[in-house]
Amino acid sequence: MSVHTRQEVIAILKKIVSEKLDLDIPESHIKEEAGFSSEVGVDSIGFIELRFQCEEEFKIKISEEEFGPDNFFNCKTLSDFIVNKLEAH
Amino acid sequence: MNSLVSIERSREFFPADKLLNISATSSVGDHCTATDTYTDYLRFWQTSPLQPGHVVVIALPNTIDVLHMFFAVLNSGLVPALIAPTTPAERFGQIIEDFQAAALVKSSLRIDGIPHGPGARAELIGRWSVLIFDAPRMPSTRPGEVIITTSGTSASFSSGCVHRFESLQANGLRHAHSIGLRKEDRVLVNLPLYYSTALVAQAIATLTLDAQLVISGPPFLLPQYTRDIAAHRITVSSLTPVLLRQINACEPSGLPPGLRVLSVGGDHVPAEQVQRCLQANPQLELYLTYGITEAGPRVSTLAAHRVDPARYASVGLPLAGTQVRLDWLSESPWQGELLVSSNTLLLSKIGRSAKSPLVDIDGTTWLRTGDIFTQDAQGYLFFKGRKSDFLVINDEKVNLGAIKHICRTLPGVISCRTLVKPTHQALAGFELEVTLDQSIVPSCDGPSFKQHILKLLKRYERPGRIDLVFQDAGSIVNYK
Repeated sequence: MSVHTRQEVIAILKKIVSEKLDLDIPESHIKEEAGFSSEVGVDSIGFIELRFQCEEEFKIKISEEEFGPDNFFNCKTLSDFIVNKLEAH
Repeated sequence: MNSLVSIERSREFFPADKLLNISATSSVGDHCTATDTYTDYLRFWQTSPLQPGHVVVIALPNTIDVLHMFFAVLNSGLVPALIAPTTPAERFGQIIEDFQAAALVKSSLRIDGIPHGPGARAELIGRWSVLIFDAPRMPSTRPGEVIITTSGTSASFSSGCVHRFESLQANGLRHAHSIGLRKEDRVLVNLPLYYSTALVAQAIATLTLDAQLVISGPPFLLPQYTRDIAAHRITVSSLTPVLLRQINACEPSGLPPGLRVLSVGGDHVPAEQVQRCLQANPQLELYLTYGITEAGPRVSTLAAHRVDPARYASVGLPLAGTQVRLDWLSESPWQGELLVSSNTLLLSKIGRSAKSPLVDIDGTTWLRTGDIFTQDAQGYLFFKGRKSDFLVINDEKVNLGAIKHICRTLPGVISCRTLVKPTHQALAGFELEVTLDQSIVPSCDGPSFKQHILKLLKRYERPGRIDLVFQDAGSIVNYK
């Protein structure tokens, strides 16, 4: 059973993207569907930081195969991936 | 003069129909394939109050949109300048001021973090935000020009090279010819489009030739890269040496067979990496390239798959229409600073304390590259190092002079120095020592002062360590 609801995960992800990736973007400006790479402007180092922050925050391990655009496209895809991962735990 | 400017404003410097040849990979998103965005952007800029020649700074991520925006700005008689979307907010102010920019386009603006004048206003253009400033009525740049930003060749981060778009196009085509790029090719761009190589040698060259351009975005993941090559039937790709090393380190290290051409540039490629890549991919045409933004940007190409292994450490021969010479170093008679002459050199340099790298020798204009080379009897160039205050960390050029300069502008800083950590690994680093006037920055404020320095720097520019030395300024006699 997940300790986080999907909405909670999204809120945490927005906070990470806003505060930990040096993008100077307020949480309120980050839309669920906005592509991290194509709209928010997360760069290579930012993605590595995002993966690290997700592992720390949600106490999960993200494999190389999982670290791709299918899961890390936007807040929505990443939250779905994290919720599924937490539930599988 | 005014009629000339109005003609230039209405001129199409690059045909919009060529933009139909752009698509994107899944990391950028399939939804970004709208073809009408260029028309919307063009209409926006053509009806804007900006004067012909005004600079528009574009800080957008790798997407189809960023090229639509670039060409809409160019074809509106304005001057596009692509910069990293992750540029720290405080640095935007410096760039806008130094480039005399009239507008900034960004994914999402935290306007309060960006210095702007009283007349500035924010607007939306599609899914992007635009901040329009009070800019000088007479811009120093002209329609048909482009600013390519550099990591700064002076003591400034916001250095920019002003080029004519036509000369960028000519340089891109010379590079394309040197690697055998043709109309039937499908070219993958996964380096940031604000890099001169990605913009000119890949995007502009590909679109000019009516070949297909496929845009990808970060992060670079090898499994995804090979999937993208297969899924998009990519025939030409360009990488940095660090990414080539990643590919070579992977077992099995073979690239998808459909990939015909791989070009590698941006820093020195060790000969053993060239050998390993060719052994693992015997069908591959591997090109090593050298360039510098100021040159337009490409200078030379080595067809590694066609030369003797003794030349794997070379960056090849100058491109067509490009002349080179070495300005011999007195301390090392076989090496010299590379000077480049061609009709694709920058027009001028803009930025805080930017100095022109152009010199006149015997009636010819030459570009001082600041890079040290040797040249063999057949004219092949071998890169030996950098003359200037640069460090390459993970394929990103870090301007130590600019880092020291920006630190010295902070209140309380007496002096600043960098210490490069020598290493044979890719992740070379440096440490920063800042001497502070303790009457202005007391030691209890040290942690927040370090944070302030880090906020001014991009991630890859950050030192491995910052040492703060607190001194009584009155007791210091030597400020060096």
